[in-house]
Amino acid sequence: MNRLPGSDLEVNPPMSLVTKTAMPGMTRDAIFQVIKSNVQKVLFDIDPNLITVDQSLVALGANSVDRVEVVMYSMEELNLSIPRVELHGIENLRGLVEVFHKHLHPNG
Amino acid sequence: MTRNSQPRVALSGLGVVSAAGIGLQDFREALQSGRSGIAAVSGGLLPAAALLAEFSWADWLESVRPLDTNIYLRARKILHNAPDSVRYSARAAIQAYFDAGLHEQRIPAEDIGLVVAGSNLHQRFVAENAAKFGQRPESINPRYALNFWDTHQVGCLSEILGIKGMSYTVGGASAGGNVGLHQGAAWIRSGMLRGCLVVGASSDFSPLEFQAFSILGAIDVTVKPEMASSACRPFDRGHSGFVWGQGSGAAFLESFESAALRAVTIHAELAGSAVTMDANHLSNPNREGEIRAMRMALEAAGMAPEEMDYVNAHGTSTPLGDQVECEAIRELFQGRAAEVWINSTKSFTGHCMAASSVIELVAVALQMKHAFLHANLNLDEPIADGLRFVGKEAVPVKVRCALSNAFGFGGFNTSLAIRHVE
Repeated sequence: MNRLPGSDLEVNPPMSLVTKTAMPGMTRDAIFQVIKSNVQKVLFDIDPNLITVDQSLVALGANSVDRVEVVMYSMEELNLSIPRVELHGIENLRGLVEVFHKHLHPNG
Repeated sequence: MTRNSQPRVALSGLGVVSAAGIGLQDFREALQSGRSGIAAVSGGLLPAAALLAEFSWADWLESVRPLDTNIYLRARKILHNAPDSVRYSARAAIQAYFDAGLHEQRIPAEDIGLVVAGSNLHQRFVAENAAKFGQRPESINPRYALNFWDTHQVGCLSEILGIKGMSYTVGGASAGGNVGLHQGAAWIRSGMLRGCLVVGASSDFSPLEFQAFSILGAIDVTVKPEMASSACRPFDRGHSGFVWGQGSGAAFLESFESAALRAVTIHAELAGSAVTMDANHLSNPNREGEIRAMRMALEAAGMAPEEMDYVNAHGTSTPLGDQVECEAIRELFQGRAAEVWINSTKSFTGHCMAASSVIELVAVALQMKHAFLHANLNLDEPIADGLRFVGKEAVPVKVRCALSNAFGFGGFNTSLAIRHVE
């Protein structure tokens, strides 16, 4: 028997609550891997080898909403909540890694 | 040209996605053979529904690629994380686009418009995000600000198909599809557009909407599982409420002149249409309003009731709605009421809300073209005497002129007059 869409709405917690992998003290490379996996999730057609820290999301083909998605999914996975203003002016994935790293290592 | 010298409106492309069948051939076979998409469902309030079968988006997209690579690439990107209703709309719309031959015999993008018929199309998406918002506000879908708008469908479909003319959404509750077709036809008749794609969009309801329909008595949640597949029984004494369906329909409308220039086959003529109100915000139907809509559609088409062979009824399987529609049909056709065939496509597709009337226009055109009328699947004991309901089997009938009705909560009455084209 087919299940009605939305019928799991009241029984299951949101995915965000079960998949979260908060890891304070993560290395830059581990943070990059999280971002990379989300770039692959959003830009499903992309060759993973193209995703390097020197690349920008725009250059990888992400449109304005794709970029928000990559950042949001990554913050969710890292259990971060960073004000948008701190994300302005980031030029490539390295910049994003640095901001995330700073927030995961608040004491330096 | 009609009597008032306006362009005539051709149906030159059709598309359908329904639980009974996907694509014109599959859908026609379902209608001819009596194959319904309604079945028992679990996991919610509804005992029965017409749910779309799982299908592979990747396989379907691959079938688009050889016909038009650009449409393939844009559809692939846009539908990747679009709400389900947008995906169904796109699938019906792309079918209609290819069926109209627009990938080969093109019309300038600026001369094609788009109407997406239906309102509150992404209710389940909204409810899911509201639930997330209650627990972790920062985790709502990043696309929410785009996706919650019904007009997101207009944006997605216009980009996928490269449509650049006048476009918007229209609503009319369950009659939304006919309202959209009425609007598209008006644009063609006025000369404002050469072609217009009208898409009846699937209503992706959440448990909240089903609960509300149940409280109002429009859905019967007490249907037993073994009776679920026959729960939709338009015009039968056992009718007890509508059965919800997922689905989308699409029709490409263009002037006869444009269709001739492009040398494309016309399915049928959308000869006239009407939308009237009852001045009543509630859910109850109104006989006079329904008669007026049918009469106005006939007048707009320059047809007389005497020419009419067939009515594709709104027929949702709700007791009051079915009863009032029977009375309206009897009153309109008077002494000829027993000669006009009546069926309701909803016993195959369920009630696909605003999409219904576009899907039903497709059903009318296919029945005209293939000279048959589909069954009223669960019609054991008709509620009315002296009306010519199709029985539980399809019948061979050559239909020349037809009406297709749709009525909606809030006092909407709509009807289309459709003419067979050789």
